[in-house]
Amino acid sequence: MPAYKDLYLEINDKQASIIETTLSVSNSEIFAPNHLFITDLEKWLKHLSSNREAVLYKTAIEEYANSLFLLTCGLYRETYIGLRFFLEHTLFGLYLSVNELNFMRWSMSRYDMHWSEITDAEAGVFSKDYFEAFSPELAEYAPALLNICKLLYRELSEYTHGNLPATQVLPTKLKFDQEIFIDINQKIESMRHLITFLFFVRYKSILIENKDALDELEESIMEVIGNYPEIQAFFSSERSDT
Amino acid sequence: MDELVFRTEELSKEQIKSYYVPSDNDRNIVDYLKSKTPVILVGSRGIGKTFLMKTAEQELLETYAEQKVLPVFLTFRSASLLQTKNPLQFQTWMLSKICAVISRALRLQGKIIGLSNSLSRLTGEDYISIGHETKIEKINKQFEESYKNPNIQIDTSAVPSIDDFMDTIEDLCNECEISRIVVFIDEAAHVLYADQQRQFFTLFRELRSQYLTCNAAVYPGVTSYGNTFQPTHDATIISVNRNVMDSDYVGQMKEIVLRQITDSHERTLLSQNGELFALLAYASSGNPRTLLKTVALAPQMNSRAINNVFREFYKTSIWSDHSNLAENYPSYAVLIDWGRNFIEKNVLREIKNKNDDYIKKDQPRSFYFWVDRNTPQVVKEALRILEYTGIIYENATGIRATRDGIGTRYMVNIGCLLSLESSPASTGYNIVKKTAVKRMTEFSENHPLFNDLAKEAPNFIELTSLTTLTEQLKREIDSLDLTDWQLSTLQSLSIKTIGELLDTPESRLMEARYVAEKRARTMKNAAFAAVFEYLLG
Repeated sequence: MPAYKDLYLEINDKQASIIETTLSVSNSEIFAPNHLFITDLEKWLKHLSSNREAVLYKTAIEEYANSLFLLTCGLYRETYIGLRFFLEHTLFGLYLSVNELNFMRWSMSRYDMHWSEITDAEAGVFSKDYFEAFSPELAEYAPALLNICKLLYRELSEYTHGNLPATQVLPTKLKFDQEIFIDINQKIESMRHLITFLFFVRYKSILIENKDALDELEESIMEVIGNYPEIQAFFSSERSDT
Repeated sequence: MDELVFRTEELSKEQIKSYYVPSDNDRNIVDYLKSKTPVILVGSRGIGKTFLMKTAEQELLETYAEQKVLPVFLTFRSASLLQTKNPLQFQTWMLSKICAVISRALRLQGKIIGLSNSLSRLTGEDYISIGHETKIEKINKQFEESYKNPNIQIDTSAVPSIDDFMDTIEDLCNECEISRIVVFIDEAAHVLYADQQRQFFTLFRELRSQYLTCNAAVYPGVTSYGNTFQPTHDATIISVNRNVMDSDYVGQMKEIVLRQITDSHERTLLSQNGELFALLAYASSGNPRTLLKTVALAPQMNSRAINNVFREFYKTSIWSDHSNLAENYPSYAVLIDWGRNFIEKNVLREIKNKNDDYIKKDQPRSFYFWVDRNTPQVVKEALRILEYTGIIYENATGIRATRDGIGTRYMVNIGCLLSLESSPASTGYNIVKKTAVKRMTEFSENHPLFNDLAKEAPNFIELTSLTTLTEQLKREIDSLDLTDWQLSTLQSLSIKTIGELLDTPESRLMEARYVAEKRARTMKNAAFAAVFEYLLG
């Protein structure tokens, strides 16, 4: 047996003990909604399986699940990196969902993802045109969501690029860190809000055409973005103003 | 002004906590909702039913670690409603809905993990073996299988029963170390037709055990409990009403608004115009949503703004809202219109005339009227609709009137009453500050106005899903999305209604000139689309 095998098994044991600490009872309550988001994303994927951009969502969701695992075993930089990938790929999917030519070029490795294009205020997935094409009643929220997205991306990128302030916050050795755990979960909560909103905007028509999709996705949508009156109005046919 | 939030659904968990004004009555209701006793919370729109249930939910979540009582919130939303006449299908749909929300709540607590495909890359296994299907998910699948395929499911023994469901809940609680699950069902019967409401309450009655408590929020008057469910025995009925006669009523209502206002200038404005603020509080008749809306309509909180509120809101909007109900419930149109006329043109005017007299004599004024319990049923139905729209509020039952009759005392919407004043901002407070419940305007069982309604609607038919479908089928084909040529073709075949078109086979349509198979199909599809669109909302 190679000598280094024991070393890696020892690291693996260390990670297992970190998982135990990470998912203590109180932390489980913070973590559970973010874990549940895997299932919610898979439900969306199920009803988008015939869309060309689904391939991007599948990869993104797997990376999201991977990131949660990395979080539980104390690999925090890797978690931030994974979450950034998840965010990028999901928004890239939303971007390519309305651009078949670029999708074909991307699938032939002739087109790369450009974050600036995806988040362009005039032409990206937060643009007035994009929102008004699919869910005009939600267009007023686009600028605020774009701000959230940009902030999130910048924060995640700090760790991806190894910027000094971010690096200094991370533990120097493999161990559980409650503050970082909370920070990551809060970022995920923001991502859940952002992505659920964008999915609703883009794929509202599926909820209208497909009753099964509506049934399966209603609870998760209402839980995350149900406080918006327009979302409530969509799910309710009767609403009184007195 | 700070943007005021009118609906509980728009509030975050933190906002619910900070906006909660704990009056004794509300505290009592929240404690009941958390208890083992099933509660039916009755109240008109905007009175605070959802808020109180959400408050109870939050409190149970906060104490979950010690008490192990898991709250689950379920709202019926019409978009995902099942339209069916089949009682078994409805029952399995309802149980499926409850299973789904319980399942989700358990996942949010981390009690179960469910199945996941995306983790398979990490484990190297197929998704089926990742996690496991819990009992509640399994039984939910069986319910779904049943209600989604009502025609295929012939063997009813294969469908889980209510007992099976309750056993599953018990097993779940034992496995997950939960002492009890409390289900809050909001809009419990609102979007359901009367026959579905009855099915709902029949099921509601069965869903109680050591491990499960169900509470439901309903609107007054428009709820059919059915013959099996006995409201007084099978649940605690709690009316969410704020008594305008309570000494701390105005303070409580003001606090509900002030909790949402963070701007110091706006708070100062409200404080400086305390009497006008109080007038709006009285006008809202104990309805927080109404108060929030009217305060938002009068940010300057001066006499002119207040008078405008009475003119625009209490004299116009609130009545329009009531009358517009007839569009959604055409079978009730006669009752809706009669109810409006009864209150607007008779009750309010009579109360105002009496109050004008009382004021001159410096005697207590009134907001109340009384109706004999032997009044025709159709009148009671009309009054119930008025309760639903918040035009009147049931104040007390079993009240003896001056001529020995027993009946129900109602309070009129105070804002609507005060809107009859030429300047409510000037004279309104003088009316509200001194009132007495005993000064009620009485309507005996044989009042001429009641007899008029009884003659006009002798065959009052309860609204059921079947009724609206029947009405839809009677609509003329003009309302369909068809070309003029198609419409004239159908008329040439003596097809005049949607129902007739649906009944006509395509082969018959093709007998007309220039109607081939495709055109025949188009015309029939238009009829199907119209009916489904109406039924599915």
